[in-house]
Amino acid sequence: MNVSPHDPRWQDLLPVFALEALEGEDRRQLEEHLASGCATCRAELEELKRDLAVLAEAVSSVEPSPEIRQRLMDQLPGQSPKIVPFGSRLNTAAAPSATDDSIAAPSSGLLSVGLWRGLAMAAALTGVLLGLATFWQQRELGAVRYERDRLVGQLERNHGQLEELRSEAKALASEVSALTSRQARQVVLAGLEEAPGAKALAYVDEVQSTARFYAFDLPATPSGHEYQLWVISAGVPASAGVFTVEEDGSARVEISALPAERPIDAWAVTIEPSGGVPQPTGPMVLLSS
Amino acid sequence: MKEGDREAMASLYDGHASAVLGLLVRLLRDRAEAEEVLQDVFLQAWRQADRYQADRATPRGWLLMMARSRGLDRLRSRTARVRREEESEGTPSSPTRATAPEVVERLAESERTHQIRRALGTLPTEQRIPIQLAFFEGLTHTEVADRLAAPLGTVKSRILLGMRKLRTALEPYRP
Repeated sequence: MNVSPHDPRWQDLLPVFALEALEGEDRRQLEEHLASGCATCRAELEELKRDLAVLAEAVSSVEPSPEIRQRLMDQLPGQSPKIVPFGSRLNTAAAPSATDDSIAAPSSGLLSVGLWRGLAMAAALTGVLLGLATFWQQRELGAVRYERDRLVGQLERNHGQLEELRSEAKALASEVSALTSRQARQVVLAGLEEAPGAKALAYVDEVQSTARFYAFDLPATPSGHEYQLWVISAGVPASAGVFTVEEDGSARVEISALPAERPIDAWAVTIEPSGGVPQPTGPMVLLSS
Repeated sequence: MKEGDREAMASLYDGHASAVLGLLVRLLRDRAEAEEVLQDVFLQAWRQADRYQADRATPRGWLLMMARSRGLDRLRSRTARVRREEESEGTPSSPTRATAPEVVERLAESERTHQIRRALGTLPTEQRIPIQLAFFEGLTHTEVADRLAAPLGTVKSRILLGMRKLRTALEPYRP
């Protein structure tokens, strides 16, 4: 197939294509173009995939049920212990000395047959002993090597886990210090008519301009709607993000940059169309006291 | 891992299964189905370990992209689109969302995850939302346009602009 001419239009469609969100004729034509071998588009698609592989890491974790792990491990094909190839090396290493026939009788007749036999037997015995010694040494050496590899592997895994634990501890410490820092201010929000039983807390760090918001006992939003959090400064509401609640009515929002100019006069939550709106339009469910 | 080492597999699973399941639950909105796909993803990783390229993605990124691809296949093979609408009723989500039971898990997430999330948060909302809907919720661009009540062309250009900005924002985290 000839390479179809590169067209900037393809570059514009590639991000949607990389997200696997492109449909219809656009998708068909772009697939055809890529299949024709356009190097520019292929390279850009690879770059987009790299970006998305990083973006995917933004996802929130959900702990799998413990039995999933066991089920997975049961499905993996079995693996023989690594000592097996070592065992085969052992046999090879021991074999030459055990079958060594370099002590064949010399042609000289100076030695009596009896003496020769004695010497031959002694030599053979020495050979066997040397062979055995080599055998044991090799086996010991192999076992030590195996143990060393196992420990190195274990050490590497431990190191990886340690690094993960370190970064987890760091994240945890940062969360705790944010909630308990001198500059953290706690704001209480109470439920209004739409959700009288609901309540929420916001921990605001006005120096860093960040906040953490925790809501409880909120009802599920109607289809196509989400909750939207607002900070109100000088009577002007600014969106601090949209969120939905879990079955137990709880939610959490992390605000990395407060949208309003300080000082914030009030916090509020309204029900808005999914994705949020620039200014509040729906009913208010929570308001700071 | 490349030699099919079971211990390496167990370690890979312990390190990343919760992130992979997080993505699948978000995409499929069905925990049982998500756990089923989770197993498939790790089996695929076992079989295709030799295809992993460290310069293209971190191991977690590689697993997540495999999971997303499998999850999307599942999602789109659901014949009754209506069913999904019913399932999603009242539960559209954004990456800043979390619930109280998740808080403990969220706290345990790595600093890197938080940084990537913050990088995503630097995008203007009108560019961020369509990307999130397409990437994390598996919506097609037509569905994104419907959801946001925006013209198709607008959605495409917002995704384009957003992905350009995202590249700069995510640059420090690329392998």
